[in-house]
Amino acid sequence: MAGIATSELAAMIDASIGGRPAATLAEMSEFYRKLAPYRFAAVEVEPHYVRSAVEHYRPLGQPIATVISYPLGAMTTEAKLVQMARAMADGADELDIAIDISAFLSGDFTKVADELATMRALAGGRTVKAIYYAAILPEDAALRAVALIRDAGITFLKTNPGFGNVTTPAQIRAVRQRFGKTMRIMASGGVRTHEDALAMVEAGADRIATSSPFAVLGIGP
Amino acid sequence: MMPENERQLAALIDQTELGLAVTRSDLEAFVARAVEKRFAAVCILPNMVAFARRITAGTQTRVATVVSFPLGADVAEVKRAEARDALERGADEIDMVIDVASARMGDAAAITREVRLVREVLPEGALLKTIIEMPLLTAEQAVAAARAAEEGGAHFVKTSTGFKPLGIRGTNAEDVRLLRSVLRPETAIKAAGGVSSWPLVAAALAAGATRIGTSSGLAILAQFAAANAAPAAATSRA
Repeated sequence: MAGIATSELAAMIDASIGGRPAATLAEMSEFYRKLAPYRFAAVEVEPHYVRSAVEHYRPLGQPIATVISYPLGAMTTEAKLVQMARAMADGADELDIAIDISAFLSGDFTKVADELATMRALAGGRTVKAIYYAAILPEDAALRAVALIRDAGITFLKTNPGFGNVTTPAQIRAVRQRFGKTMRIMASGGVRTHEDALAMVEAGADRIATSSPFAVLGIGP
Repeated sequence: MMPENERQLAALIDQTELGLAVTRSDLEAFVARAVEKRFAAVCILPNMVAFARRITAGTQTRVATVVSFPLGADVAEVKRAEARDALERGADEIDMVIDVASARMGDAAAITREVRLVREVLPEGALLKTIIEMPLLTAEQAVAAARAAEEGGAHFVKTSTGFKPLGIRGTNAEDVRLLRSVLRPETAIKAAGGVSSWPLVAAALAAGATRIGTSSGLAILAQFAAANAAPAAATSRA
């Protein structure tokens, strides 16, 4: 793919601080300050920082995303709903929900789908992305997970939670080929450079999640 | 407190399976084996608690689960709800990750508050372990976090999540010694994260830990048995 304008690429990025875990509020403020000159798709923060991000960062006009049952997807449905309701009350605009991957691998597709449908309903008009662990699933299983997600009324995918689960262009292409434009897809996990990002966009990704937003934009570390 | 036999050693270990993508049949075999070996507890993910409870019913093996695992980055009220939900499903022990960022910021009051909120929903007989993730903290931050958790009513302070993708170091006997030197005698210490062999377990116990969290419980029991069989064999040959 030929070049892509910085502003155009920024508008596809969910930026997170990443790096050392357990960022302090001061580190978060510095991160927001560095993000401020660009218009990202969203800034992604851990649930405990949704409220402060909404207060300090959203006034810049940028949406706040957070994660639910992250990164293991192993909370009960009831606990996920509480976590999600709180994130919404704190002002989250987008919710990235990890599917119950253990239930999926155990063949309990009904549990996976019912949980997602319940959460989709709770989210109201907010953007919901379902994290489906593409990196640990064979392609046919990954596509089956995507079909369950779509049937639950969620039309935005997030490939992986990160933490060593790396997204490949092949994961994106598989979804594009099977589902066409009916699903949006965010490449998440291991996208650290401008070249990585361009490869994901070329494969059909609508968004990029990264903890290296400036490297991905090609304008800094 | 050094174990004198395998049974005593097993009673000090939380046999742990917190990996991504464990199927129910994997977990069933894991729990059944843990029950047979009489580990203190199985430590498993929340969505497996009810299932594990059915397998451990009528045995001495307790069910421990995690709250806000592995990042600890939830608001206190959500941690409390998650703990309450797990307890209702049959968990006997809650291993809760503290807000590690609060520890890095020196906000002891926030840690005490979140621990207290969770402690308040524990029924009689249930245990609360608070994971302070020492590998991400300075010694000073770890001491302050441990004391704050103790102040909030934690029964145990636990050294680490042991969550490998975080890229953090393992727990060692030095971590345990540091905690033992600052906590009240009635506050127990669980060593977890990289405590994966009998020599490492022995060092952690000697430093003052009374519970070990590991996914290698079976191997540790075997190593212990081998280490203790050797002198006896030598004696019988003599």
